[in-house]
Amino acid sequence: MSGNEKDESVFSMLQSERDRCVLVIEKINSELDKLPKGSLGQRKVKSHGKEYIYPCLRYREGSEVKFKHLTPEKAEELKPALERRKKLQADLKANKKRVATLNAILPTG
Amino acid sequence: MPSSQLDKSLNITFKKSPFLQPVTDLLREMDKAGFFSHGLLIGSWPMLVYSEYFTLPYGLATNDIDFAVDNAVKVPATGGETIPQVMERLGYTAVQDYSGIETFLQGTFEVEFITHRKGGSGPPAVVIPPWKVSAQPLPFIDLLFIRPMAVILEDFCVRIPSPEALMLHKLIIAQRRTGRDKEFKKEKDLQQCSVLAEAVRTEEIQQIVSKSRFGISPFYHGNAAIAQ
Repeated sequence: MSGNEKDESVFSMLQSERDRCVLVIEKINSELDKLPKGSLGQRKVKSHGKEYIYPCLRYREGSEVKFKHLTPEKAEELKPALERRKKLQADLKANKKRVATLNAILPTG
Repeated sequence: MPSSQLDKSLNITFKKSPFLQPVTDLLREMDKAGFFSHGLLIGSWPMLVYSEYFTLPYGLATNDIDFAVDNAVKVPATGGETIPQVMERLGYTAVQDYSGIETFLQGTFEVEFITHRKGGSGPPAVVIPPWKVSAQPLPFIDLLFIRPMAVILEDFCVRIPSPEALMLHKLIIAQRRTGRDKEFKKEKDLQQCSVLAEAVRTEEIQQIVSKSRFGISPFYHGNAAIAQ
């Protein structure tokens, strides 16, 4: 294999890896669309001199942060899906970073 | 690698794993689950083993990790963890695409399972007992299972296709690639073949061809690929 052929094969491999990462990003995004947004939290409400604590779902809608009141059962039910979302978002970030790195290495055009 | 050493055995031993740590960890756990009794590590990762062992000029591997599962043999139930359970324990997330093909993701690593497809068409994914893992059926995968190599890494063992089986497989599929990046993949297949050609043994190729169930036709097409 000549030097030029070697360079060519390295670039092809990197290009293939970038394309694969782009497909992974698409897969993750379509999976994220199926999952609930936000994180679980608790809200305190004072009423008639008493303080009540209830679970809620915090999520962002545009620039606004919304709170949705949940029953303890519903909160438990949502937990695995929200954890899954968090994990996939981390994977998404890792893949986007890899694509950006590969784009910087690969020749344009 | 001297040919006298090649003749002795199809097993390879590495004191230190040539793989990245997350891949080594995954392979160790797959071995613990008994996967390699009926499974192989395929894709570009075995090339890393060959290049290290045979001193071949090829050290590139992408972050997709493919495993082949032999679905033709009845695998005895181990009663241990299923593959999805192992993957989840290792921090991988299972993601299914619209056609039902399952992928396990962790960071930029993507793990997929592939099995042999008999005939021209079939379902996009099949579940392999006893590991309860969904595998994508593809043609000519059974060729990879003919006389595979055992690779002993540190404290565990994995199986990979022999360089001869992998080369024949690549020669056949290079001609049959479809999809938008078929030209690139074909080029990559043939590039790997040209690297493997330095390590393959003629008698081993003959043994594999005689044990395969394909007849002469795919190998005839493979010859066309060599000519290219």
